[in-house]
Amino acid sequence: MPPPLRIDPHDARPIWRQIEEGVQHLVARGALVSGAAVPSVRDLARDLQVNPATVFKAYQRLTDAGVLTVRRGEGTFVAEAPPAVSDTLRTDRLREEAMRYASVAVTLGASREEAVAVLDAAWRSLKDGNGKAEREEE
Amino acid sequence: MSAIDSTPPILVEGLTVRYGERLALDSVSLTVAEGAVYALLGRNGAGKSSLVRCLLGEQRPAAGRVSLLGLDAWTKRASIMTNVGVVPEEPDMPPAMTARQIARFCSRLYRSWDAAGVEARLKRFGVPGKVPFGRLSKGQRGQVALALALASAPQLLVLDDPTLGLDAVARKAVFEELIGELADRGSTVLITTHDLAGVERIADRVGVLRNGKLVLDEEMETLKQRFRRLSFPSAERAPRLEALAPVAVAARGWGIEAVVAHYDEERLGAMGPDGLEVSALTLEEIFIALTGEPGEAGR
Amino acid sequence: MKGFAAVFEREIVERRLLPLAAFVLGLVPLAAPLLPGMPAAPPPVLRSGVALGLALIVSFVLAVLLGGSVIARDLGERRLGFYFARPLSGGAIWAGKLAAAAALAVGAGVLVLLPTSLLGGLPDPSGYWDTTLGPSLSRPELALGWLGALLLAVAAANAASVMLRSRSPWLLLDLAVLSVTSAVAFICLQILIRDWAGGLLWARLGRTAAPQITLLQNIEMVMGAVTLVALLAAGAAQVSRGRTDLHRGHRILSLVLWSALLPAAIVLAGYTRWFESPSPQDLVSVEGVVAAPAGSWIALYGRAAHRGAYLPGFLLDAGSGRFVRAGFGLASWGFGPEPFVRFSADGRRAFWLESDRGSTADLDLWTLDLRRPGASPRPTQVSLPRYLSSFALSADGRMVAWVKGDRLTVTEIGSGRLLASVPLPDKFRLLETLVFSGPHSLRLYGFDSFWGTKISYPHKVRLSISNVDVATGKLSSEEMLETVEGHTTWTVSPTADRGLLRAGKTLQLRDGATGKLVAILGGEGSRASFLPDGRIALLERSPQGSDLRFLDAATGAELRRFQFPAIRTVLVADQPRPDLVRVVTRGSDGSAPWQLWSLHLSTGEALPGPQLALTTLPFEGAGPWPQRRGRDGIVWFNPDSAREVVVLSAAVPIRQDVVK
Repeated sequence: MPPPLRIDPHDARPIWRQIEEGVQHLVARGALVSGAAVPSVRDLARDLQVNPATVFKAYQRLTDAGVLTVRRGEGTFVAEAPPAVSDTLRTDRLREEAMRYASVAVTLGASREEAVAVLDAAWRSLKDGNGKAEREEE
Repeated sequence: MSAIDSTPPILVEGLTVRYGERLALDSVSLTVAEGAVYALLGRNGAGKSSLVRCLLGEQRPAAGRVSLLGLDAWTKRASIMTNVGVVPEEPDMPPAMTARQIARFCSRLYRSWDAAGVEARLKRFGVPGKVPFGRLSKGQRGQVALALALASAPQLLVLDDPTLGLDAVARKAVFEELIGELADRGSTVLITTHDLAGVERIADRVGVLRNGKLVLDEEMETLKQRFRRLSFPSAERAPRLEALAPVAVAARGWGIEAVVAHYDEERLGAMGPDGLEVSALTLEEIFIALTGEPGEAGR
Repeated sequence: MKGFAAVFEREIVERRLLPLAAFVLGLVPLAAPLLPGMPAAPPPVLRSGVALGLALIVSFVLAVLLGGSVIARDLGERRLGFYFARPLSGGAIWAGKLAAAAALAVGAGVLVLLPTSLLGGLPDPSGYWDTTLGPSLSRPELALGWLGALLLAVAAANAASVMLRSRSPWLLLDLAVLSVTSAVAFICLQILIRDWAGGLLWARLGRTAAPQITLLQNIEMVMGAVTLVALLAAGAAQVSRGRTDLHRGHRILSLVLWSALLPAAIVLAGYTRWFESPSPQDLVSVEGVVAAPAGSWIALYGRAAHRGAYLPGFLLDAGSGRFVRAGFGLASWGFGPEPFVRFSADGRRAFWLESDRGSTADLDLWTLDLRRPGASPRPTQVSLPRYLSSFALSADGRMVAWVKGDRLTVTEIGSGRLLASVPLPDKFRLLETLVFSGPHSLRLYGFDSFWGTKISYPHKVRLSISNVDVATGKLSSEEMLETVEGHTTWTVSPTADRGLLRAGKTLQLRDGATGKLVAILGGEGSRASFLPDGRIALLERSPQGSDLRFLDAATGAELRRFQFPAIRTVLVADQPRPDLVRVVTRGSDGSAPWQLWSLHLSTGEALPGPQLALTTLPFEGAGPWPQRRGRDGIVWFNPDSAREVVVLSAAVPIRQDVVK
């Protein structure tokens, strides 16, 4: 059963971007491991109820970035050694998300300690889930 | 017959349609590129049906030209239709014929006909093949129409409000078929609809008709990129709204909400956050903003 | 083509129960002899009659119902878009649907006939044909006509259905133009029928079936074909240019339809007008001629070129060429070589009989003042019964008398007042001549012998002469019997006091009042006629030439003789003065020009005059009006009956040089 990937119409990002980042997120989290099969363009398009061309665009970019590989006749798979997301991109992204979280917290009137505590809890829950997956593989 | 490669599958130039005194379409021009999915939106009476009728060669425009697959839609309608699949707003198949009989009739008219595909689709939709068309439910009729339109492997699909009156399940089924077709063949699609949520994800390009004029004709992506909803928690903390040229402004109990058509992150940042919330809009929300009451007219 | 076939098949398959129902209906005629209320007739006749009638009704009802719904209903219920969204041309859609409607109607008709045919052979519709409609048509012709009528019904039903469904104000225009065109067509047809464009000969010949289709039927077929083509073209245009728009389709339909039918109606009207307006030059044969006793007018009628059996009549002034159309042709036909036209003694007025109110209605007496150039024919107050046997005009033109059956009637023309109605003795009269023997007296001559036909064996001829006094209504009668061989002719002098009787081999002069023999004038080769002053001109031909003798009417004694050696044809033209008679002669060569002679009775001089160019009217059955017309006059000559009419134009001068 493929890991969940969702499209948010309220999200400002284009759909292909959401798919691209979604897949990258799953790979980075370890929910999609090297060599694992990803859904075909058609299936994913049908599941997400989006234009296959959009899915295709996302897959194209992921293939270019080396995250996915296409094995003709067999399908699309996660690449053997997906490259780490480049450092600058990574940092930019972290910073962006942090800014977002910080402004939300400020708007809600939370203190810095409260904000950090909640962040901590979220981190741990994700890691736990990840850890579970790792333990299963061993 | 195949279109010249450089000519887009749908080319409308300066299309004008009059009914007596009333101007239904006022010099509308649009292009649909090969393989693209074009969503034509508009409120009732905006001119969508007139445009579709001109596209299908059912009506002769007062001015302008319509070319489908490189040929004039009015004069070459019969030869164009070999490569076009049409799902009309009101399925108009003969009510006394069963789905199978209609399929057999159609199969003689096209070069290639996927009879097995029609059977499979009917089965998938749960439409009985031996019941006269007139006695099928509305949803079933629409599904038969779609199955027939797809069976000839058309280069171009024209769907006029294919999900009108369908329940959620039927709507999903229609979109799934459509998506499958796009995946298999990459046909060019023009779809008019009121189901904005449904079409939002599959359309590449959007056109909005308002009082006979095409007020918007844009890639879905860029459209969604530039529309934003700005929420200010309190009125006095809102920066000078006029400077942002909002499309719509609404006062809420908790503050002010403004929709801007050209979101400029830097400019907004320069004005200072002031508890500002920025969120994206769905296609439906953009549409409402564009076609709401006059005075709040879209740009 | 495959689009047409697909649409056609689809329309038929949807209605596949219809042929079955038709076949079942076709079983009904088999039981016809058993049904109550059927007329007495042999069962096969009854069966085929019912089968034919049923087939006709079923096929036409279906044609109208299907024609009205096959396109118009889809159009009205907005379902035509289904076809237009397929690769089907407008023409294929229209043709496929209409052809299916027609095929179903035809097929249903055939299927209704099938059971009866299987039982006893295909019914023959000619047995039920009403011969008053025209000569009976052969079976293939009838089948073709039925097919054409069905197609017309389908196309018309389609057009009407589209017009009615669209509910647009154009319908008013349609109705207006429809009324105009159908009124024009109906009126023209009535006029042509009245003129017996086709049926006259056939009807008079006792309704024997004529194999060829008459002119009127041709005209009707052309009208039907034009209407059909217009309807089909309009329907096709409506589908292929109006497409799914009902209102636009209606407009296009009306435009095409009326722009075809309106000019066609105008053409028909023009044709009818042309038909009714021949000139004497259009005559291809002359059935009868009579000349005025004075002046240069003649009355003639005959068949005209390209007008079937129409018999136009003309009053023609040989002098000026001016002519007036008068409708005595039809009334006169079949009643002898003289048309029903009479002139007053001074040649000023012409009277004739005509009727345009049907073939059995009474005849009206019409009149024309010949001296007034701008005059047109006027009806008088007098009507005469149609099948009368003779009629006469008084010399002054004030009274008219006629005989029908055993009654003689005299009427005053100006007032229409009945002057006398006299019962006649029941005599079988075949050759009848009625003349005014005086201002108030009439004489009726009758023969019980066949005129014009040579009878070789000796047979008795009875001549009866009845004298009637108009004022008192008294009748007195004389009778005599003769045994003759050969045919009989009777010519009466202008004052009815003498008569020339050819009875067999002799030419006799007889008393006009009593019928007694006065003198025998000649034999078989003699011909005689009365001059305007009553004297007799007797022509005798011999191998040497011709002898023209003038005789005294009272005794038959010769007054003067003129000899024309080597001349075969001598015709008396006129008598400008009592002692001057003009004749025209021609040698044996029929194409030689005519020679005028002025004969002086007192001196015996025969002065040759100029050569004349005379128009020779073809007598009955001969060719068309000769190309070269003579301006000097007209001659009409029938050698068979030895009747002649010669009218010299006023341009031919009368010699003045010989003074008595």
